[in-house]
Amino acid sequence: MTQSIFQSIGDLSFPIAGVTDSLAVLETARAKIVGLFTAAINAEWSAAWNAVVGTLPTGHPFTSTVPVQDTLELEPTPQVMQQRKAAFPLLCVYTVGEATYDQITLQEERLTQEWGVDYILGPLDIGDIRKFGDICRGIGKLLRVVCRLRAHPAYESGALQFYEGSGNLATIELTSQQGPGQASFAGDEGGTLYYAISFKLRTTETTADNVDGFGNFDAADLSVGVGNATEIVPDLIQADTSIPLQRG
Amino acid sequence: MATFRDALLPTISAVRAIAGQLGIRLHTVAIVTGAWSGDHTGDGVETQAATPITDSGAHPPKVRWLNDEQITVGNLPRGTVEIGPITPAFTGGGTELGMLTAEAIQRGDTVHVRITGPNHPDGAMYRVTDVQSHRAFRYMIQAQPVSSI
Repeated sequence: MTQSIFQSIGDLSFPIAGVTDSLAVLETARAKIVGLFTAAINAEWSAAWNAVVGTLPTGHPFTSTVPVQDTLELEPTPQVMQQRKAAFPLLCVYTVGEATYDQITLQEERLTQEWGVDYILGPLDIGDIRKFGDICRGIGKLLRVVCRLRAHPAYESGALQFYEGSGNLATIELTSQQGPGQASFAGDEGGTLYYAISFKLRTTETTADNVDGFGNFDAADLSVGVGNATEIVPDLIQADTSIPLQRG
Repeated sequence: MATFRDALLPTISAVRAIAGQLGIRLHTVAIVTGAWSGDHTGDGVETQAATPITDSGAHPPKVRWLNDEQITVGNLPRGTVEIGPITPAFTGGGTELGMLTAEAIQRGDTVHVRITGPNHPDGAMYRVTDVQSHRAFRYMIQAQPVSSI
């Protein structure tokens, strides 16, 4: 018999299954957020983006790009950026700050998690800021609505997201933004400045029973006796939820 | 037309190899790139490619761990290392700048410097934090430790 609590919180279900080469598959909410946001931004902004890209001189870094050219499921620190080749514009989604646990009913626990969502255009000059910078605030407006709708037609044919098997979030909300403006990666304040906007996202996940851990409910018998230690009296109440056998 | 620099680089490379010939270059250095079979860096199977950095006769460059004073003044983490001088590419030898900066790798691929020697008998990965290429006859790499392998 599997030794497990047979419970789930969010999309993490005990006992753990489905892992092959990376534990990242257990964080389905993050993968769904990245996928949904990337598809939504590229679908909504590509036509406008391409119109601007078409005016760029040969060899410009944004030639042949889309509004989200690269994604990263990590905080874009200098340590990460120096080890991995990135392309811009870059969309980063990662957990940040202090998550909180609380009890919302006698049976149910809740995890409230803050996320950082960074959209980094790259080290733009003043002309490029004029051409591309205003996409940043527009992306915030788009993502706020996408979170409310929990879907976009460009992602998985418009299937609703963040339900069981697709991230399983009780709530998801884009709460604030900083920028756009020139920013450096955290811990690299003296380094290259990148034009970026940073969003805060808040999600909640709740617990549930993992039904795989419980057998099917067939029937229940109930007997209430009225006897004591010295006498035997037939049970006062007898109940049986199973269908009586038909005899004879 | 060959320049004065072009004519001098082979000689400089040969001179820099002398320390290696004498056996006092104790650490070998290689640029290691990694490509992943999955959708994200770290997903699936990693395919590594290692390219040694050498001077004439396959001798390694100087590897120097910065001392406490340099680390403090430079506001650098412990274990920061300086690699070089590395002779720029010339006909028949040297190192391409693009190899040090891993220009050829694809989006999502990784790049590290692997140092192997007495300090790291099994080799250790460093991330490249700076490649200095403003000198005509040498490149320098600054790197910081990531993990042991």
